Amino acid sequence: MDAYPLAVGFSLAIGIGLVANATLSTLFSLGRRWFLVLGRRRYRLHALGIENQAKDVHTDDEILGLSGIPWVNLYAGAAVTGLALFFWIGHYLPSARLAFLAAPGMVWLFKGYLVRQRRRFLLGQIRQLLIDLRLHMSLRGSMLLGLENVVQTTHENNLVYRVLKLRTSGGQAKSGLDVLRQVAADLKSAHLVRIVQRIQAAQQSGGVLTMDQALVSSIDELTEEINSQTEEQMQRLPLRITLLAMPFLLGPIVILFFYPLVDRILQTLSGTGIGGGF
Amino acid sequence: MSLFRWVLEASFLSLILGIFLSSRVLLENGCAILTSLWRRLYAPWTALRLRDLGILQEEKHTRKVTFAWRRLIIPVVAVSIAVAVGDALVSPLVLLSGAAALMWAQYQSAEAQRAKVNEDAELAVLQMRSLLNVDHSLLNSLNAIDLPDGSLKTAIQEVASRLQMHQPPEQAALALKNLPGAVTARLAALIANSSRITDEVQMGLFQAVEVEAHRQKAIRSKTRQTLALVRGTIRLLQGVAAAATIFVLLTPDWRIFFLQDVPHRVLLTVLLLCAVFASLYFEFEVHQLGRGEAF
Repeated sequence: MDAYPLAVGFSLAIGIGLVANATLSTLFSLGRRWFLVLGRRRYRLHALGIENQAKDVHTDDEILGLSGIPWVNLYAGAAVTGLALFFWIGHYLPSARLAFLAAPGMVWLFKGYLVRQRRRFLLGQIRQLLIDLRLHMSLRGSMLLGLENVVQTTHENNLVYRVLKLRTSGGQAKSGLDVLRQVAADLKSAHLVRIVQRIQAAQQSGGVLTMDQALVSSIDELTEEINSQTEEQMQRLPLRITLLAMPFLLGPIVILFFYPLVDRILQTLSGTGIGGGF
Repeated sequence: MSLFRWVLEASFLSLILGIFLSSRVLLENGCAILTSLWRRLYAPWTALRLRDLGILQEEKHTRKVTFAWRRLIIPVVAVSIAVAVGDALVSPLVLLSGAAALMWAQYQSAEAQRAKVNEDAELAVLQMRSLLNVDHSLLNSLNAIDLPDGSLKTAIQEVASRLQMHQPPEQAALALKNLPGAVTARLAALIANSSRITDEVQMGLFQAVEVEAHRQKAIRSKTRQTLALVRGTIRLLQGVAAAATIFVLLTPDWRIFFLQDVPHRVLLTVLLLCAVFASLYFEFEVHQLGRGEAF
């Protein structure tokens, strides 16, 4: 019964957390509604798409496209499942029962994996954006119109294009360079910052360097970097996958096949398992 | 009433309330997922039956909708094993693994269709540039393009017929709007804006798109060659893991051993989950690198 206080404490924490979350979300939505009603003048500006630029801030989850996943529910579900497992089968496994309470940690790890995956091919995505931008700039005549045309015509839904869609929505963008600067800040990408600086330098050079040339040189630079990274990944991949596959795929196979046999042999040797099946 | 009693009752109440709140949202999300799954599964089957009955007329050049009977193997095997094992813990796990494998197969099939459209678009760009060099007419070039049967070929024919009906290129290119792929989107943009740019600029842009498509194709081909060995090794290990699981679950001695008590059941569950998650992880890793998003 020493697990009882632990279970009580854990369930109290889960319950209080969930109730607090529900209450705070309700209060937040109510407050937001009241704020919009009271600040009607601002609300009208918002409806017209003219609003304070400082308010145009997106959370990391929105930028990474993870805001649609109900993380609080997942954490709560994992915690409740872990607690149920702790109660039902925890006393059969005294050495591993505390591991069930770490179930919300799996959700946290999964979220971290998704975040890493979203940022994994950032260079390739930036390169694709620059190629699209170069094409649409030639078609539309300016960088801002080109970026807006990219957003309208593309079907890509990766991180870079999603941020670009967020930044061009609402018709607030004043110049293409500003949009690119905001995208670079959202993505925290040093490469994109360098590219923006290069384009700005081309704009200010008075015709010595055209924007198209700046884009081409940026694309070439990214291509070289991506090529070297791809080569490196291709060389490392067989070793990495083999090393990971051995314990996680070969391990279960070996245990499933041989554990009953080994157990039977040990029981036979100790004189407790003679005759019968396993 | 003692303090401990208060804490106990408060924790019980808060847990019940919390479970109620979270289960309500979980049920709502679950219903939405089940509805969308039902629609996805039911719609192709209904379309197929309606076409058989002649109520729905099949469009010319449209690929015939066929029910993927081969995909039924996965749920049939999963359900058979689950029924044969008949265990309250392992059977749902087997069903969940089958559902995950089925979803992955469907995702890969959709990705293959998208990749085909993109590859057709690469061919279309290559042919258009050659044709525009000879005959400086967008309509003639679109009419002369020769592509394998598929949604892109149908869409290009629709663009050509719209142009023949004197629609502006912006509207004509809308036929390509719903097709996936970066090259398809670039081709649609070039067609839509063809009346605004000079022939020299158009040829330059077609050349740029073609060079990029060629580069993507070359790198994809190289990556597939490099990944072939890794993919084969993983397929082999997945096959052996699946065979081992089926053997253990269907052979009475092994099954009784692993289902004899709770620790052995937990061990079996952990091993199955480990194999399933590792398989999906490696599949996703190889798929991601082979898809070309990295380049």
